[in-house]
Amino acid sequence: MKTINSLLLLLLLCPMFLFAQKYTVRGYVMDASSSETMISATVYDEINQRGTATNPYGFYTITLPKGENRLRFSYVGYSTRTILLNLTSDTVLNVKLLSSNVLDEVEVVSQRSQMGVEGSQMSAIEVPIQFIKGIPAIGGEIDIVKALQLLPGVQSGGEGQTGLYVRGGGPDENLILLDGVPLYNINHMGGMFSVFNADAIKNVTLYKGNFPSRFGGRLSSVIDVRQKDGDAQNYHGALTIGLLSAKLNVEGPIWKDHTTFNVSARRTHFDWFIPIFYGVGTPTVGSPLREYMGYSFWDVNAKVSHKFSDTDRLSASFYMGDDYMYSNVTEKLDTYTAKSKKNWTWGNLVSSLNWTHVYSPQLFSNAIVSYTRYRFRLGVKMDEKNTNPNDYVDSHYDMDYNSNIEDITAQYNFDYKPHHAHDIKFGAQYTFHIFKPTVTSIYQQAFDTLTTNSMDTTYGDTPTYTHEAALYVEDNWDIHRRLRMNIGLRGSIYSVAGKVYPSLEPRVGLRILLMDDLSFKASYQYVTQYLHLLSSSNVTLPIDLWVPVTANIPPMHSHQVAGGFFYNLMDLVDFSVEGYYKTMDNVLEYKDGASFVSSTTGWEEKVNVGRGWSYGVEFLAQRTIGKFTGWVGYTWSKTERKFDRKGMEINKGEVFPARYDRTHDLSLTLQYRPIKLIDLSATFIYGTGACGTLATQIAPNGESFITKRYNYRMPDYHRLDLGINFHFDRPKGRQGEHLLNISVYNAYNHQNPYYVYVGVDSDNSDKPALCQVSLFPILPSISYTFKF
Amino acid sequence: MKRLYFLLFIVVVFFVSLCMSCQKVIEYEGKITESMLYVEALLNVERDTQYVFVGKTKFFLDESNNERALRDAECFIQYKDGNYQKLGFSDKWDKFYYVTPDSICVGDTFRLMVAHPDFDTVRAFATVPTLLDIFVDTVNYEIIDMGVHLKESKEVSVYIDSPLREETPSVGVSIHFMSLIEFPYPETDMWDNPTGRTLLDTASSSAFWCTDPIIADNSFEKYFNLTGEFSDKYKYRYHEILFTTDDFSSWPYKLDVILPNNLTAANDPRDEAIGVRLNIGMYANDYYSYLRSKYDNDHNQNMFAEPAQLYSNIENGVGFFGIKKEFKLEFWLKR
Repeated sequence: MKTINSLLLLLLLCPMFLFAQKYTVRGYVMDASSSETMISATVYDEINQRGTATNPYGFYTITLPKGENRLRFSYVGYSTRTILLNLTSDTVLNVKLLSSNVLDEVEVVSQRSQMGVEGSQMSAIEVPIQFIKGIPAIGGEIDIVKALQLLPGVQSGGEGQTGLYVRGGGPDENLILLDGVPLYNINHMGGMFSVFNADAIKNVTLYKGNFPSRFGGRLSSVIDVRQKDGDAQNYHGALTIGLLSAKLNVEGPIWKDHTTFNVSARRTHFDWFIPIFYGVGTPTVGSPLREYMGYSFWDVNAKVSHKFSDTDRLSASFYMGDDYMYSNVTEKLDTYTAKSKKNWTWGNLVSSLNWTHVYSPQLFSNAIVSYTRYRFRLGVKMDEKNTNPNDYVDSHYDMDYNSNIEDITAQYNFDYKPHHAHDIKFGAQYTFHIFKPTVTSIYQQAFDTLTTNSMDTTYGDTPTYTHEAALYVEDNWDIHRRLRMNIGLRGSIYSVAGKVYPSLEPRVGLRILLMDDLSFKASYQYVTQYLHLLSSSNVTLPIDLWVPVTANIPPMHSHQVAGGFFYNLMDLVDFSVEGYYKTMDNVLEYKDGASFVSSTTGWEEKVNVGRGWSYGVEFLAQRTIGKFTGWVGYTWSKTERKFDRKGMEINKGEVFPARYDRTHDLSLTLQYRPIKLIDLSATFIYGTGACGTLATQIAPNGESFITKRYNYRMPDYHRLDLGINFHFDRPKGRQGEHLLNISVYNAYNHQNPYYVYVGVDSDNSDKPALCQVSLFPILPSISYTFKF
Repeated sequence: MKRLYFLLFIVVVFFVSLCMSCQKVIEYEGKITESMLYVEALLNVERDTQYVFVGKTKFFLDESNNERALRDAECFIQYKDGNYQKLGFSDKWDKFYYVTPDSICVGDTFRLMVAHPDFDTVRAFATVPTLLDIFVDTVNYEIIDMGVHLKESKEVSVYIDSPLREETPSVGVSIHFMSLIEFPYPETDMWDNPTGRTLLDTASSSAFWCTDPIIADNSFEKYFNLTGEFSDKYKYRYHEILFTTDDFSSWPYKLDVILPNNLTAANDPRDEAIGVRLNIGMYANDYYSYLRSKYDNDHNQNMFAEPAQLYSNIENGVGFFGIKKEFKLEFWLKR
């Protein structure tokens, strides 16, 4: 009897023993030289053939059986490290990896990333920052967003613009996060460059679909940009001078292994030389006119991080940047003087406080409070005076136009791994939005021989305050070695002017491992967006207005399904082919003839609400290790719109292509490092021409008119960029490294269309002709970087 | 030294290239749109004869002349359920003409059909719009010769209201001024009564000026004949505002016409300074859409404005066929 009881007890306790025989290993994966944490580094259990990845804070947790285990840590561009463990309890294991730049001989094995063959995440790409820095750029100015535009499914707004159009979505449908905080305008210089200083950035991940549930509020993409924390061991930095701007990056420990800082600053310098080339302040002989024009931008990134312990870390991030453009004109005749001053300023301010805490080996959390603001300001002052009694005039005009959007956000996010098969994330987010779309103040006083006029008025939209809250939960579930699912649900609610919009957004992703190197993935997502960006269909500008949904303008919704195959060739090249279909409801377009330039009040009356859809196939082949790296991306797609609601018709309610519909889009980017001191890069881009609207018919009274919206395709776009980097070491005994970059933008000088208009052919008896304006011819450039 | 020259060369080429934009003529590679029949006709039920212009459009790169009407087209109008009446062609006006039927009523329908060997037959129809209520807010007037003449007033207010809120037409108010002497433009404002906002400043207003204010030294016989004489001694000003009836709220709109204080009329034999004619026209709403699309097309020359597609109610063609009914109000503003 006693034996039977003991056996029974043993049977009952067996599961307990089984569970009790697993332990959790957790820690951070870091760069060996700087202790910078690594995002999405792969942690792989070689014995049980299971893996995980570090989260955006470089933290990982993995459950392993008691006893001997072998963990392999890998990251792109770093040597793989395998660690043998004999587990007898929960363990903290922080791992440092050596960069391939440090090693003389590199045996680098391609990591199987979460977005590759084995991961359940599809429609997402993580672009290594080192690779971005090698892509040739205008004026030698490395640009992250320009690099993203080279990926399949992502298009630019046009020549020189950084607006992102992802799978048929507009530029407002991208959630762009800097350390988890949204940015509203990512353009400098009218879109030639983005606000991201590559020296301050650690990681960039783009999601084109299958968004993890922790992301929401935008229909088309999520771009998650993470800043560097700073080197915890040594001080160093880099000074770069290019033809357009100069930038400085400095990082290092405030308290070694505990507190770090990273500061980057950038400013244009070409504005000091503009008067030499245009509108010099000194008038020509006899000319009464003086003109001054200028443009500049600057930005600062700063981050301070402090490690209290292995369980608690605190960081503060800051970004601020502005663009400034001005034009001053003075005219002076005998009795007449006229002066006008115009200046435009626009820019972002982002600040956040981020606390990470490890509650237990299975539970990681991070809490963020943040503030973000985007503002645009236009100031105009005009003075006119004529002292001639017959033409007496004395007038002063002063206008100030402001547009703002501000967010105050709090979020608390958790990563929970109760079991090796489940990687659960959940959390809550709240945002208080403040919209001030347009506020114009005018003061005017004018006297002439007949009349006296004065005006002092302020008009525009009253500020709108809205609340947005969300709860989410998602689980990355390893059902079987060959079957993995990601299931998520996001519930959001938006409150504006007494109106409440709730939304439940399911997200599902599936990965079937057909062979060790081949997988099939499929996904479905439903997302809701509560903001709109009102912009001209012709060009994206900093003056574009961010507006919330209202009682009359409902939120946008999107369903997206995608499916594709992913293949890894001998750990060298990753191939993927992916198809998608996406619908978008309640999209906005300006009404025929509407112009936001003169918009003062009532933007709702200027827009129509309709729907759109987009579908396509994307192909990507990428290689991220070895001397030869790069990718080839091709997209075939179609994006259309239909506005047929009564009273809101556009194009007579018939289907028309979206402005950024591009049937073919091909990008080829290659980097080659034949020897340690030189690396070469080339980028080739080809795309179907953008849509435009032309008045192709002329009435008998001579007036030209438009019969259809977007009835014309501009010529196809293609160009080749080349670059070469020379690395020079300092003489012996001195530290630092020189880097000289020579690049050529548009190497074969193809005149790509910026816009097209109907003009005359002056070489052919002034016959009517179609004229094209191009922006950038061949542009060679150099930049010099000193790393210390 | 050579390296320095090379680097300087790159710098110079960069800045020179950056400052130069390139412009060139390109081949048109899009779809060549065929020419279409163009019809324009706004029937005024107050007039004895109506005119219909029939022409053709041309592709924007086509250099041929398409200004003249297509005389060889066949144009027909059907009134109510009657027969289609073939229109004659007037060489003087370069248009087809049509004699207005008697006793036209609100809601009557006119159908237009135009045939030409080179085009598909085009059709359109229009309905006589509902009348508006219009009254003048002053007791100091008398009716003389079908017009309202004010005895002593420097300003007059005219109220425009719609009896049927759900089915009201677009409204066009054309304002004509004439005088023997030079005069500054009288103040004319349309008010959204009773809020006090002017029609053109209201964000939700659809109103716009159909024409820019015209200042001319000669009078136009077909628009203005207050004294019964055609005279080129008079100075003349005119403009027209058009708006849809979506702007009618609970109250009628008020039009104020106010004479400036500093006006003199020493040479005016009638001792009345400025003659005013208000033509208040009632149109079907698609006339507003047509004129608005033309207005937007003319005024959105800046690259930030959205393209405006021309509104057309001509089936298989392009242009406009509509009907208007007018109410005239004539008076003098006194010193």
